[in-house]
Amino acid sequence: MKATQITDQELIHQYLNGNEPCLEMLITRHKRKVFTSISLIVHDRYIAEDLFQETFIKVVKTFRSGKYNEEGKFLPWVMRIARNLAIDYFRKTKRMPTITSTDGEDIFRTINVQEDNREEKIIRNQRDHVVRELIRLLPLEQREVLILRHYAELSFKEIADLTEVSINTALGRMRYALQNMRKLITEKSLSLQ
Amino acid sequence: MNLKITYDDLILYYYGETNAQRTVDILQELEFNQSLRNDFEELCKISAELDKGFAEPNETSVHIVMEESLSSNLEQTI
Repeated sequence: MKATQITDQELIHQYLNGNEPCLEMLITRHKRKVFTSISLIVHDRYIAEDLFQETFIKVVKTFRSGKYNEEGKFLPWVMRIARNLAIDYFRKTKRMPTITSTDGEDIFRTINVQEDNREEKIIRNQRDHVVRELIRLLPLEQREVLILRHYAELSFKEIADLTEVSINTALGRMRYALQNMRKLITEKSLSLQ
Repeated sequence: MNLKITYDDLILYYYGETNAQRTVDILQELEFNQSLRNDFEELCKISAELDKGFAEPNETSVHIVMEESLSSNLEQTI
């Protein structure tokens, strides 16, 4: 039985019928999308790990309580939970994600700081690729759509529902995000190969 | 061919969100329209850069969720 042939709904049914490994299959299927999205929102690997765990624990609790709405799609629902938890995190810490100016100063200052310590630089390069730093420079609304479309793999309709804007607005934000990413990559002389 | 294909159409096409007819239109236009093809190639390159930003959670995080699931299952059984 190939995992890719089983739908999310079937995995959920199996899990609710006592087949525990189906939950792990479900998490494994979506963990990269969900974790990348969370980590790009909060920009801290350790907080992202916590929020990732909280998200799926909430998923488990909802399954167990019988409150899961089977009519909805699983991934957009999970992303809604993750997004709300990230917003709660920022509320609790009274800290909003930084929107840095696009003049390019900040990104290189960040990178240069890392270069002071070779070991830290290696760890950082493994952990956060430069592209993640560039995404951070995007205006918040553009960044959110880029994360939800490219990394979480939500459709523009699903993004529009989640962020409470029209599909055209979501699409427009994505267009600006991609154009700005192109500019940033060019400005930082990163090769687009 | 001179169909009106916008950058937004290219984005939708790239992410597999165009309907069958629009997909055909875009494919035909890409064949003959060099400017559109350049735009699309650039979109593909940006997307390839973005792909480098993917990250995986630590396996411990998945184990913690699975343990939570097992313990809640046990509670329900009891």
